Amino acid sequence: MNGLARTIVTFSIPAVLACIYPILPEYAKFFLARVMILSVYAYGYAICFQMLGMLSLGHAALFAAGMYGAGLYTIYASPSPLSALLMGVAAALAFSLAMGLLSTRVGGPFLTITTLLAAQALYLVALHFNEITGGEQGIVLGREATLVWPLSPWLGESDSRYLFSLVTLVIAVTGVWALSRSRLGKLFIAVRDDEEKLESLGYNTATLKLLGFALSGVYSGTAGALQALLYSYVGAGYAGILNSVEPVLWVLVGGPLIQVGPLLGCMLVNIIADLARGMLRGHVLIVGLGLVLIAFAAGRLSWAYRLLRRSTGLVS
Amino acid sequence: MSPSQILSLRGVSKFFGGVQAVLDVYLDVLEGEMLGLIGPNGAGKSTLAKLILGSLKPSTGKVFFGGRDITGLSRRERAGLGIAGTNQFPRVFSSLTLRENLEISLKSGGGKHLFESVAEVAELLGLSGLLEAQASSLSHGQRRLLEIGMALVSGSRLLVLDEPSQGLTGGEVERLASILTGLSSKRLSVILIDHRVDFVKSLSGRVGVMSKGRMVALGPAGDKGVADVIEEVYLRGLDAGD
Repeated sequence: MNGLARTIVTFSIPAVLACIYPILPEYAKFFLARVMILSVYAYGYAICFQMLGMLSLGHAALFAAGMYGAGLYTIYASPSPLSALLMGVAAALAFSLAMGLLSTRVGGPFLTITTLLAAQALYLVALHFNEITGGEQGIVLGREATLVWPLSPWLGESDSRYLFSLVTLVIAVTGVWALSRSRLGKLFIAVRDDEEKLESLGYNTATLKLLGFALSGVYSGTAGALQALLYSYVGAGYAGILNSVEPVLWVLVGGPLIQVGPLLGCMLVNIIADLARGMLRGHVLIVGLGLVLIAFAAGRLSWAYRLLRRSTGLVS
Repeated sequence: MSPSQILSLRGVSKFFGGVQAVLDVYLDVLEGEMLGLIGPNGAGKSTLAKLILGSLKPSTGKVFFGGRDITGLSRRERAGLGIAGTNQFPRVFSSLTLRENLEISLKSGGGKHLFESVAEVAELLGLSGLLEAQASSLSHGQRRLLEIGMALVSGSRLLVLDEPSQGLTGGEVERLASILTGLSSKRLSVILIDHRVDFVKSLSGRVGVMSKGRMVALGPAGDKGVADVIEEVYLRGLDAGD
């Protein structure tokens, strides 16, 4: 696929999402807005997993850091949603740098375990300080603290959410599209392909991995902050293991084209999960089944197979 | 160290447990020279290459580059000073195109710039038509040439080529020989390690012979003494030091 075709494919889904907005029913707007936020998270995860080959199982912590950073700021500091958004992104960046410093020094399964433990630590902290964070039950934010509040004289809640999510998604897609074409993006892929070789060319791969992890954290934290500021809710459930596992599935289902794969994968999995929501714990079931199917099919899906093998350190 | 020496090994040894891979090697490489290194399998040539590149640290002895003690430096730090190398099995970034592989390598090292553009080195390698091809789709020989190209554009002052002719076709070996001959005008120092004795002798000014971890002979490629040691080592399987 040449550069122009890739660019057209990259922006085609956001363009379709923009075009169909006027004719969407309320529930579809609500659902797609949420999927678009999760897609931003998926893009963040793809930078870490798909570009750099680091299989993290702790990205829920980065999502939650953005969510708590924004949500708690509106509760304890100021109800200004834009400042809260920045605070959420800053919190996610700080947490991803700390987590990245711990985890990117090691590779393969050790990175996976380290990130998993770091995320579980944040989850337990959120539960422990129940009176501040609201624990598993969470806290509902004031309406004036949400991003939809300033637009309320002109737009309904679902319209505001949809438009905010769409704009953020377009920014996220553009960022990944630009990254994939840049020298930095090529270096990230080179780290995944052969870190030792890149090191032998004089590059500091530890710094590259940390940078990629932090960038991934900014994306994840932005999604978390938007989740809080568009839906007026923060809760420890978002820091749980399921929220770390889901993006693995989205990326694997989305396929090898990083510019569009995370969005496609996230939409497909969530649409299927939504259709199955009537079943007992349908969402969890779909994610679990999806991962099992991917694991069984991995030998045939050469791209997913290679990515998983590299990320888990089974091959150099 | 004299001003024209770029690399100097002083009593370098490497032990793996009780196994002596390299033993008490003294070696000087001059600026702009091509030094050949030959020896049978297990002679310690590749281990010596790794000790120079920084992939391994010597058990004893010192490595100097440009007069500076680099014994404790990592491979990345040595690359930054201008020491580049290729591996026994070519290692390139398989998800990237040939152009992207060269662009990443371009001037990543700390040495002089031998080539100003990716196109220039691709032409030298005879790979101009494959610039947009993904590295994973290249043949073994093309990957080998690409890895050499990556080392050439990385701003290196010393190039360590470990078995560069391995797995190449006759035509590709000829192209490699022509590329290496062309480097003599670039004042780049090259250590050429290969199992093809004639290939190494035809390209190198001096040849070192290794056997059982020792440097058993070192001298001009056409020197009779060196030729005799080569014969001893290869044909009779003897350690010339015995």
